[in-house]
Amino acid sequence: MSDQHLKQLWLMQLADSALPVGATAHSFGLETLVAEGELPVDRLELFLHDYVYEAGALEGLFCRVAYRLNAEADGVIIMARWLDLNTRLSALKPARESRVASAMLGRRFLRLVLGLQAIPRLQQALQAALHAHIDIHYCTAFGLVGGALDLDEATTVLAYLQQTVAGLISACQRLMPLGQNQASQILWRIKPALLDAAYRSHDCDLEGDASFCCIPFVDLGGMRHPSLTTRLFMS
Amino acid sequence: MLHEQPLKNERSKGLLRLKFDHRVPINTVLTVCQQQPPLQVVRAFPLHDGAALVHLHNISGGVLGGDQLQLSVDVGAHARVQLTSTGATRLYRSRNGLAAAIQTTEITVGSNGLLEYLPDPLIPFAGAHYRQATRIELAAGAGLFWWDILAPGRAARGEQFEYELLQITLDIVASGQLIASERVKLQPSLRPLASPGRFGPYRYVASFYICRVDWVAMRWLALEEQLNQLARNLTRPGDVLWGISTLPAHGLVVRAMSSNGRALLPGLLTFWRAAKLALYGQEAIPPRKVY
Repeated sequence: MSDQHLKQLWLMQLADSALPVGATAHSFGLETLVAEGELPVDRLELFLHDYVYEAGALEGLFCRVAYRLNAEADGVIIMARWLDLNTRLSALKPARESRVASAMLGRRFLRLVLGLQAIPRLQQALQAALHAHIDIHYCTAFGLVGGALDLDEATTVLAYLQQTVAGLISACQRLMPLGQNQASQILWRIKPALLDAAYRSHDCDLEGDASFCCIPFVDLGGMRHPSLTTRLFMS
Repeated sequence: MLHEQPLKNERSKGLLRLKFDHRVPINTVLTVCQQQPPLQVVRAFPLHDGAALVHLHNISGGVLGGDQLQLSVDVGAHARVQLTSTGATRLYRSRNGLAAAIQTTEITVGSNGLLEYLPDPLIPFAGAHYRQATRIELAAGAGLFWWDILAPGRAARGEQFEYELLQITLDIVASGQLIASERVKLQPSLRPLASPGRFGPYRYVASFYICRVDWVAMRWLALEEQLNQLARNLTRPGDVLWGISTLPAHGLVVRAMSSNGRALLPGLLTFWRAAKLALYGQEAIPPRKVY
């Protein structure tokens, strides 16, 4: 067995939906859309394809840029870029609850990994963000960890996207009449869209094609989520 | 960052540079004005609270394919400015071979200055090809009320999402921190906007950024809740949805989606009035035009 096999096992654990970071508590605005009848089960797959094209590519981009920070030798530059990256992503997330959810998951993820393996660069990244009162987003934390563990870059981005979509589908299973088999089929069929979203971020251009994201209906669902009278999810 | 492309046929390179200064005791004056058609202002009108009101004109009646338009506004320390348009901004069809029309806007608001930017909707005609980039920098204590409304097209003639390209970027920086950023690229023929992942059943979208740098952080959450109460009252599912969220710092954003354009401007005026009162203890003064 090779070192690569060990890294694959690490990635499988980190991208597992059972990882205790609290991802199951968030719907990122979907609960509002479902509660108001705007997202029926028969439109879920189409919705997820478009969501992956827009938000998936954006988060994949930030995940990949964070991954590549590990290639920089100067620790000061790394931390400056790390903070700038997370600040940029916070600014791109208009819905407070969804932004806070992403930051909560990112911070917990980084802390959890540090509890599994002491990596000085990850500790610095956590401390720098806490000191500067800057969010640590889930996708950037995932990318930074992937790079620090020397996991394969493309696989890291894809694993992040896969677990994100799996989390949304899982949320939908609690919100709408979506069976386990149907959920598995959707997750299986959406993989080419994940590949496309990950590929679009390969140039790591924060002003490039993957940086554009138009999901106003989902954003508005997230912004209106605090006003729901009955809520299963925190976002 | 927008990259200028060579034009096959030369089009307008409009330029408008405005600078506003505060004069004791309370008046704001327009001190520098450089303009090149089709962008133009006629004069600044004094408002009774000391602010200067300026109407932004595009004398060609709209944005033509290949136009390159630049707007620069510098609001000095303690100055108060209200900018509005004289009507909807029409984005005309681009002729084949012409580069996309480009509008770049750079705004700075000095310490304790205030800018209220209240334009009419953006209407992209069928075949329009348009890129817009806006950057707003707010100094300590600066305030901003900034809305924009995007129509699906010439709705009265049944035109919806028939434009070729609409690319809109917006960055708001407050005391050196990026607090809001939009990166939107709409190409309806490639990616349908009526999808539930994009516009859903709605056709119009509006954003309203409300900022005051260094206002106490906890009060933004209270203002979010106050405005959310208004949003709940104004929301009519299937017709218009309103939502409010605080930004990472120094402000909040009001977002609306609507199946028609009629509900948006009155709603924006409602939020403006409430937020102006909360942030400045003053009444909002609507521009002299019919809403």
